Amino acid sequence: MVEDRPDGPAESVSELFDALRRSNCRYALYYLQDRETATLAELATVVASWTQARAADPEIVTPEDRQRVMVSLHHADLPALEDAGLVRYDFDSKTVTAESLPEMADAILEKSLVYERLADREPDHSDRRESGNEKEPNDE
Amino acid sequence: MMLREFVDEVASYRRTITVFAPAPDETLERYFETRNVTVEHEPLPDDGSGGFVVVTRDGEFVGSLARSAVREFVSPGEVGFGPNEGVRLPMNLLADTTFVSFDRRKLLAATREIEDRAYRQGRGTLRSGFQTLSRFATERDRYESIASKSDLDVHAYARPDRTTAQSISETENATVHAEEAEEIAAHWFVVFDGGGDDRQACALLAEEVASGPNSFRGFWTYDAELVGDIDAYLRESYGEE
Repeated sequence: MVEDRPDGPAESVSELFDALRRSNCRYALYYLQDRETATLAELATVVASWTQARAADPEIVTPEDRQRVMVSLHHADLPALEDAGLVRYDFDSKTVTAESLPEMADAILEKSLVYERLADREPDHSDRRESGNEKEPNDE
Repeated sequence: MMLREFVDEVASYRRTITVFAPAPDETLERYFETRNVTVEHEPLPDDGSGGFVVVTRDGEFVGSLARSAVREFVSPGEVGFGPNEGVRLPMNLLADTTFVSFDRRKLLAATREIEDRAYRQGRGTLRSGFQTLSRFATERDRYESIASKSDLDVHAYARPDRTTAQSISETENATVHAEEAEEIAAHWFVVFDGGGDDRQACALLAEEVASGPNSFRGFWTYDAELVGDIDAYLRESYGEE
């Protein structure tokens, strides 16, 4: 539980928001809601595809796009989720296991999913912006 | 070798289509219902996007696209005419997966995409099968204009029916192959060799199935090697004149 972490409740609230402000982290958590575990590869497929499916004009997600998301998950997003105590990430086997969510995280995620639904296809996801909305139609 | 064997070969590629969506999608499942494409459903919380479709080959990620975009393309009914994003993106994602129930309208949209590539490239060889000469007659003006690109070699294949080879012989820029072969009457195809650029090579090949009129089984591909094989088969079987 977040409350039990040695670095204190205030620190852990910061860590929780630091994770949840990242759309990669939220979408990984939405996906993990009904599943105990997922592999890094599986999460990369889901997060890359899902965030692109929300774009105003969805493009095809290529293996290279997915690879970029995998690198971000491995080095930044999953460690942030682990710091916030929301998942366990095994660096060697590259498997992610969902922790039982603290009440606050659970409530926030439930609300944020409703908001993502209302905001459907509004390109307002700040951390998606650099990752490809400007892509030219790749005519070849 | 027969045209049908190309369709059988592509049908042997093992592709898995995974539909990530809040609920199973029967339209997509029906479209891919062939023995060589496995369709799976993975539940996803409803975020309003409708989810997405992932294609894998032997477990390797090939690509993915918003489910809404794929669904629009495979659903019966209208697709936008001429080359457009609504056609190009799903075609890219679904290349080398066999389809079983395309109607003429969808086939035409996919065909236009390939003809348009040939036209824009402006060089190379385009081979198109119209099944019957009557059908070629209705497309003839369009093909004359495609063939007006001087460095584009255009060949049309069709079996004579009420339209005879004589009545069509004055086609200026395209070579018309009036062939009696059964497979020419049974197959719809359009094959562009890329004009020296492998990234432009593409082909669509479909066999009209006996079970229903206007129903086709086949595939399209951007694989330059496979395109080259189909091109060579047509050239060797039916000549260049």
